[in-house]
Amino acid sequence: MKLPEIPITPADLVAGVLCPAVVATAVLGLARLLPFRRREWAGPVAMALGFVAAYPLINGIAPKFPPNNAGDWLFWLALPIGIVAGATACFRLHSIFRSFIAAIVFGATLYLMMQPAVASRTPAEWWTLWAVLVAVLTADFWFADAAIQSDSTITSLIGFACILAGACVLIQMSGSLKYALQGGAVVAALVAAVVVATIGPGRSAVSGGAAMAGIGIVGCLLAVSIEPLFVNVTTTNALLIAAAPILLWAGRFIRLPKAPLWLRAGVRLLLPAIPVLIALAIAGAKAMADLNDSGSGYEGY
Amino acid sequence: MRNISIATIVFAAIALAVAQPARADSWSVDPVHSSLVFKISHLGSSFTWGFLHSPEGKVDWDSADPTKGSIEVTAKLANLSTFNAKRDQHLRSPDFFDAKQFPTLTFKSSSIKAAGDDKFDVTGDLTIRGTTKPVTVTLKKLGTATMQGTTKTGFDGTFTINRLDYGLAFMPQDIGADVEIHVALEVDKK
Repeated sequence: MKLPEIPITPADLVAGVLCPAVVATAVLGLARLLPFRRREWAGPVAMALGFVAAYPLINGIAPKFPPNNAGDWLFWLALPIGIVAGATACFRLHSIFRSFIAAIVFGATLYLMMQPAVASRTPAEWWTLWAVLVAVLTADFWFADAAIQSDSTITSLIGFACILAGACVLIQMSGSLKYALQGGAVVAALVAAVVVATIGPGRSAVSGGAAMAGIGIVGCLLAVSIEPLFVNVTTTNALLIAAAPILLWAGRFIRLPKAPLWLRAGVRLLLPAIPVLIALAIAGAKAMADLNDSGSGYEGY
Repeated sequence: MRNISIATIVFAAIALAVAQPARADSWSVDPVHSSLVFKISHLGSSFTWGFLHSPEGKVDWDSADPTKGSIEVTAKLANLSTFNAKRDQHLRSPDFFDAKQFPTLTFKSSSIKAAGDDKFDVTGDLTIRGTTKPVTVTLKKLGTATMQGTTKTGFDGTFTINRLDYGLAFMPQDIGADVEIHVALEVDKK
């Protein structure tokens, strides 16, 4: 039995991992140098700029303006999403207000990204799909943000990055390497920002706005990748990924006071990993069945 | 007086009939006997072939003056086939044609020029993935036949596009930029 390959080239790694990581490091470094009292803007802006820098390298061409497809819309919206996420973090608003702003951000982003689907759906179908996706993303934001804010370590941030990475792998397994690499650029920027923030300006430079920027970009990419829209991510797998932030948040209720830090961190990471791994196993099994199907053998290149 | 009036009307009618330009015949593309075949380099070592079968469209063709005609063709990306279902699915994904966002490929002619020997340079707008670019296709008009009361004729030609011009820029290392497209149209007279 043949195992599926991920056809990523060294050029893809430079575009989708190295480039956004360098950009995020530069933004965090700048945040440390600038004489601003608040630095919560740095993390989400770094994630957005990492995505913006990687996008044309991954696609091989510059995005169109005005945009005419979901990906190009996200390119033009990414920086505004990062700025709103950063500003929201800097003002330290109550979680209800943050969730309200997040719903507006996700709603506007999905409204524009879903425009190419207007012609193929009835208005009732389109608006229902839009409303459900916005509601799921907003709920995910609340859980992810609450988990990250309540954690004095970087464990929840790492867990959140792993959930986003899982979403990207799922998109790749479900048919679009390009969308997966675009989402992966945000993950690479987030991980670089967390590392730099830990040794530099502090965890709060990332933790305040990571959930809004991460879900605003990668969450919206996953949302438009579901089967009724533009890729073939099954609804079941998308819902499994959507369940992960709830479990990331629920991890805070597992008290292990005498356990070492690594064990507590491991438990907090294990819970959200369960639905992500189930989704990847389902998608992987299908990819493997397709690969070994007689007459196929196509490995993505 | 009455004779003069009738003669005038008859003369005017004849003059009008003579002055009337020959009308272009309307034809519709027969999806069953038409296809677009494409060829693209894979890893610089071979060519991969694919079909866009069952295109639809209409042709207005004035045999007396073909330059006054027009050709419109639409091909659904759902009908794309490279004889491998997984590769077809990948080609229809956002990585390439993005078929759920841009379900068709269209060509609409803007001018037709005679190129000799029943050949015509057909210039028009080719739209792929929401991007429209002008292309010129040299089409040869083939023979005419009648089948079960339907008059049929055909057009055949080849042209090359650069896929990067249409936003199909993914995997530049693996897949060539130039795509050779062979047009094979059979059209039925309406």
